[in-house]
Amino acid sequence: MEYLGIFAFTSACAALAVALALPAAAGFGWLLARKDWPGKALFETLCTLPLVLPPVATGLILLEILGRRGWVGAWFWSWFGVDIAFTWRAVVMAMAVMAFPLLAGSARVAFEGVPRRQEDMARTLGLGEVQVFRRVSLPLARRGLLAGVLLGYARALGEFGATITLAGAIPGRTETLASAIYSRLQLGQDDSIWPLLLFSLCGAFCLVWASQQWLRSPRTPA
Amino acid sequence: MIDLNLEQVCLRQGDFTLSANGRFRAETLGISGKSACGKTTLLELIIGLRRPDHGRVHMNGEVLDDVASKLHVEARARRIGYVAQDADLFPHLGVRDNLLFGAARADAGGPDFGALVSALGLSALLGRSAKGLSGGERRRVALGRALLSGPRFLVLDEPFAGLDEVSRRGLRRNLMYLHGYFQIPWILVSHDRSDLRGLCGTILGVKDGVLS
Repeated sequence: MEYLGIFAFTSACAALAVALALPAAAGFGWLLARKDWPGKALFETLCTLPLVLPPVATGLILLEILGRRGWVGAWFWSWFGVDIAFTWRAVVMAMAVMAFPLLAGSARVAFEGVPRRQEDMARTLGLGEVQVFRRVSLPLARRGLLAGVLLGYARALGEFGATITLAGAIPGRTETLASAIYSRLQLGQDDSIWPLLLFSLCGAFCLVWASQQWLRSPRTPA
Repeated sequence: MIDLNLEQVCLRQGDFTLSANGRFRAETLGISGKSACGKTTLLELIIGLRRPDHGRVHMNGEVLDDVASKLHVEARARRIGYVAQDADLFPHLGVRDNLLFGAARADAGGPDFGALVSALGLSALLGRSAKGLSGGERRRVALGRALLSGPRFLVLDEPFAGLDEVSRRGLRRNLMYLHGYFQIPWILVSHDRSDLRGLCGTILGVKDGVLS
């Protein structure tokens, strides 16, 4: 049961993290694919940073921002009386930040794949930009977006460095699959590692496989 | 009636320059010219998908583009029904939803869905996906979709390109019937001047980017 609890907690946090990051990532991906603005390259680089920075460094930056003395964390504490750091919220935030570059990158590729002519056609039929996005761009990009969601979810499931720095690994409160494996390894509880490892392996395999299959399924142009 | 007034219009795209100047009035206007001479660019300028670098575009008394005063009426506000060369049906929608895509824009006095579907011979296709339609079927669906959006007039880009003789004749009949039934003016573009005869009262030529 203990293993199932850890797996369920990690899965739920990862799902929430992806749900939280997806709207912003889809919007950002669309902007990167379709618009030019001053500082675009800077934004793009900032968005990619969590992929290349040591995850512990990302976690530390998040801790500075979301900790009780951080500018967002302090605001959150004074307005709602709740902490972010070292709670399940910190797990979700760390996962969301780490999944964001994958989600935004997939969204960008997906929107770049939408033929501009289809969007132009919708404009000639009287649709405004929001409607064009909702009725044409989004449905035509859904395959790439969903593949990105699966990859982002897989990334969030396996998140370790940023999560342990921002949320710790408090059993029953913030312990995820990755931190549970690490804790047991440190304590020499090798036998209890294998079920967790199996969960991680199966979850990651299924998600990456599904993402690739989804992208490969045949499409017929109209 | 189409009253198209192009005042010293110029649009540059890399090495290519489109120039047009003149006032053209016709119920049905044809534009002919060789491939890559600028016909589609001219159409896209008229429907508002491209902005000129210089000049003014008037249509039926309304200024659609005026570079000097930075005026540009967006494509969605021009109420021009556009049938693209490749039909550009929305692949994620069925035939019915493609047809109804822009219908919300149409006035209450817009064409009746049933009558139009029947006139275009699309009744049997309504339940089908947009994928897998033949070239002629796609053009007819695109034509119906444009008409159902309640346009002031139609712009058709190479509607006969790539169609076999039977489909060409069928589409030609459809166009003549629709013109008689809905009294809708059109601008029709084709690289083959013979396609335009009988369908267009006035035929203009585009050569090396210059409309004459």
